[in-house]
Amino acid sequence: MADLFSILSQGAASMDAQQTVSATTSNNIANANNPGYSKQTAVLEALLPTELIGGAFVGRGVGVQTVTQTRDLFLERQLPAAFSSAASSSAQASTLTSLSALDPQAQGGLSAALGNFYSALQAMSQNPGNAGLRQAAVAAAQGLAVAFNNTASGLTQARGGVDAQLDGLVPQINGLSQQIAKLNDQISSARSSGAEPNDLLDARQAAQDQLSQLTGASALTDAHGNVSMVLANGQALVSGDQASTLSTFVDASNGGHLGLQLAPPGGAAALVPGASVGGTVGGLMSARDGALLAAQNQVDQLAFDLGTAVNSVQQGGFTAAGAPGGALFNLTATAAGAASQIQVSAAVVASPSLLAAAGTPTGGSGDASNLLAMIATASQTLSSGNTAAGTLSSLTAAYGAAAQQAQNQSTADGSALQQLQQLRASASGVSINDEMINLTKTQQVYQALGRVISATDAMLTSLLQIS
Amino acid sequence: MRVTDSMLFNQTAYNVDQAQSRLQALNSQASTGVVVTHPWDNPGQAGLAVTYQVTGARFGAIAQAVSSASQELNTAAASLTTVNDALTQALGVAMQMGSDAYTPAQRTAAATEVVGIQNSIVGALNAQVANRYVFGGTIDNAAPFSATGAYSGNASVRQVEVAPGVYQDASVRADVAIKGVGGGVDVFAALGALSTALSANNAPGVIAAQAGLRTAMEQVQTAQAQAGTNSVALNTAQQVSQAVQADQNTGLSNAVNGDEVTLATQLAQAQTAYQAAITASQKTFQLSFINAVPSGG
Repeated sequence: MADLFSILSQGAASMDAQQTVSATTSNNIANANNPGYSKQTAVLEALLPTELIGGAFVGRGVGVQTVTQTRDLFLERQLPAAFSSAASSSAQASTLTSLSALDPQAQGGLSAALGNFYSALQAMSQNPGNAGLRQAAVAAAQGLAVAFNNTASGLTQARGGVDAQLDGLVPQINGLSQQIAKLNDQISSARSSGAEPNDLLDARQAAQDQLSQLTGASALTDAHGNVSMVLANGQALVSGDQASTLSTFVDASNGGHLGLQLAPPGGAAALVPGASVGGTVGGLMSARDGALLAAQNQVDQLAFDLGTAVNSVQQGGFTAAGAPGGALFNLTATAAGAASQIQVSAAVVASPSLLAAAGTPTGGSGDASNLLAMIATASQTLSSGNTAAGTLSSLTAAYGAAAQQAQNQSTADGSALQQLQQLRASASGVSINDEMINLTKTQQVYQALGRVISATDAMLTSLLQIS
Repeated sequence: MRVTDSMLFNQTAYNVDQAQSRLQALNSQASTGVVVTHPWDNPGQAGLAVTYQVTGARFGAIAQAVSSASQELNTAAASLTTVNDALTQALGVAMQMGSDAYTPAQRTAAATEVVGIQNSIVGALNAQVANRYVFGGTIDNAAPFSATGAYSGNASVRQVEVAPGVYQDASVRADVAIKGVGGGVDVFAALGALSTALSANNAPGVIAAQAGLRTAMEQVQTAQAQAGTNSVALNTAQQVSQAVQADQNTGLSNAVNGDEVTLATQLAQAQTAYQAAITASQKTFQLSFINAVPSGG
């Protein structure tokens, strides 16, 4: 028969179970604002009866079977890619939209400088012997060269800024890789005890999310529950309890900008192709080596083509003194770096009379025939297949389209990520309302169990008084 | 769908951020009127803005250059009118002094008058605009005619670009109009012949000089007509260039500036949306189950 002492011990065990439920609820509430936390549930289980009492099995109360997490693996599998895409497009958009050098109406910008240059030549063509107009034409040429220099500098700084960011992100990536490798090890050890290490799993998931966000690495889980973080080309940042080390190097083949290499523990570093990296790092590299590089090359080509065309005419004409003209612009041998290095010849700056306005040596001070030919370079088709203004217009629009596309992509990716995060929060997040109801429910059961113990105690007292 | 507290907070933050971001962008656009500041604001319009800007500056410069050329050509035409008037006066003297009624002394005095006429022609032909001699061809930094009528200019014609790649003559060839290069007569030689005949009291010579003067006048009048034609062409070109420049400026304005009414409306809508997002957040956060649950036993 069921004795009163067993009722007391049953009540105590059941109160313990309710305390565990309360503790789980309390933990849930405490982690309500922890983004990587998945709601935990204490699963109760009726304790099985051990003896038959009067022809019936009487239960022994309740115990805690386990504490589970509420997770939706379908959603969680989609999240790394969403984190990667959102971070990539966001990094790309913010990098591309930080450039002001190509603003169409920027003060001292290329469009204004190009217009000013040809306007000054045009004004000089009506009085080429006028020293003031010659000086103004040289100043406008300098203005154009400086505009090219500034635009190139803006583009170079934007690309260099990406390098600085990469340098800052690499230690963060290595830290996360090591953290995941360590958590793999800890989770493996904890599981060997038979219990599910929910908080460690949450911590690892949070680290995975961050690493996906930074690098676009995907998570692969092996049969033992270890997670490997792998880049698109198969290079592993984390493999089980081993973390590789990511580092930067100066890539001479990419203008001295930083490249990435990955070294497994004890192994040699291998190049990480830019295309295999996603997330923030991938977005930054994509902006640096995509639209920014294209714009830089186009501006260089424009500076080189325009400078060459003007120089060619200038060298075919004659100065105010009747001497053959020299180059107006000092240029690089090829288009590479032309925009950053173009400058007006020091000799012409010192003596504007060296502008070769005349078409013949004896043309006289009013001969502007060569100057008119120089002005005609404004309509000349350059290697881009367009005029200088057309090329500038085209590269401005192309850059704008790339930046706008990145912005739109960022908005779309951000929205998709927000949606997925909301769905994950809906499945795994903590609802204060749910927890408060759970807490109240547990509290009432706990109070009732207290009453059971009090009543049993009273019954025991009565029994003792009989004897 | 199960809604958690962090979902509510995150969604609210997201919505308020979006509304605030839109409001900030429209606020900037409405206060400046500029909707295309960066290439990514509207790539197509940004590209067009560059073209409008450069082309506008180019046509503005063309209009100014044409204006300068037109001024020079008008000065040249006025000088030729002076020359023609002077030649008419000289022809009058020749017709008068060709009569036998005049004495040697009267013819000597008339010769002096012809020298004066020649000097006035030299003065007219050495006219300048902005310190530039208009009749020197491309040698514009020295007086093209000496006191005796010797020409030190050249045969070049100044040109001005009236549209990209299109050039118009903007000067008179004084070697042709005055010195008779290419089959004409030398104006100064014709005047010299008259002066010499008058000084020598040579009435037949005076009469013979009239033919040269008439040819010289026709020559000058031809040059005048040519200058007039070119001047009209330049005036037209200037007007066209100014009109194109104005069109480019309008195009630029249309490309980068927004419609004020549309911007004001959009700003008002964004303000309303932002206010609504904040109000909705306040209402959402006021509701909580926490206070509805009894605390303690």
